[in-house]
Amino acid sequence: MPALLRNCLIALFFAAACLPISAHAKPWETLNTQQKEALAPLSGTWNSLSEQQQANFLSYAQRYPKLNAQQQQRLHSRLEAWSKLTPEQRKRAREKYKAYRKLPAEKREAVKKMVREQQQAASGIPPASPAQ
Amino acid sequence: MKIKLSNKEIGGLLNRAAQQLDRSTLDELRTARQHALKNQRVESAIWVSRNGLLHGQLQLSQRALNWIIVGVVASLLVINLTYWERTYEHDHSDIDIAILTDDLPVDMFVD
Repeated sequence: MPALLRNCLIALFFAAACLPISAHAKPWETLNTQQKEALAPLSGTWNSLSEQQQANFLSYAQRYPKLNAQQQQRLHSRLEAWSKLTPEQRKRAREKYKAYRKLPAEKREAVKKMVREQQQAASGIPPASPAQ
Repeated sequence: MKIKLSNKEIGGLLNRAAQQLDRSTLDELRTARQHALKNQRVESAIWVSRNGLLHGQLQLSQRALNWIIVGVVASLLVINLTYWERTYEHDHSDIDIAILTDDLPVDMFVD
């Protein structure tokens, strides 16, 4: 076999090996019961999600049974809005969250308290007075 | 007056002349020939269309062709890796779940 042809074949082999393998989109109907339960808020928009988004959310579904009831409820209430963010927004959110987790515990508590107060003010509920 | 000689005739004349050369010159010529053969260019037709509209020839040494192939493969790798990087988000399910189930609302972290 001429060297040129051999080299071309090797190059083609590498090129083919490097080509991204695309995952196939999974229709909502093909998900199992546990996945459907975990991703219920996305049932209406699931089929329009990209293959990679679907793969990401399926990995959430794997962790869903290990969450407590409150965490499951929070996940459900936030999932749809989260799915509508751009990859860049999600990336920024992860960076901010990591920075937040690095704060000392007392600072995190202070942030949580501030957020609670803001939420209460927004909903018209007077903030709870500190215990005497 | 111009004398036109064919390649065959030139070859014959050169052969006869070579027989009259001394040993050291012959050795030098042999060395030069081997060197030239080692670095000879490979002529490969690369684009030949059936209608003859597009055709071309690339004259490159074997080594140059190898480098071009290495370059093509490296470029494909870079393109594919960039594609993966841009198109596919890595698995962040751990941190995503943490954000989505935290006490703080997601809005706190979204621009």
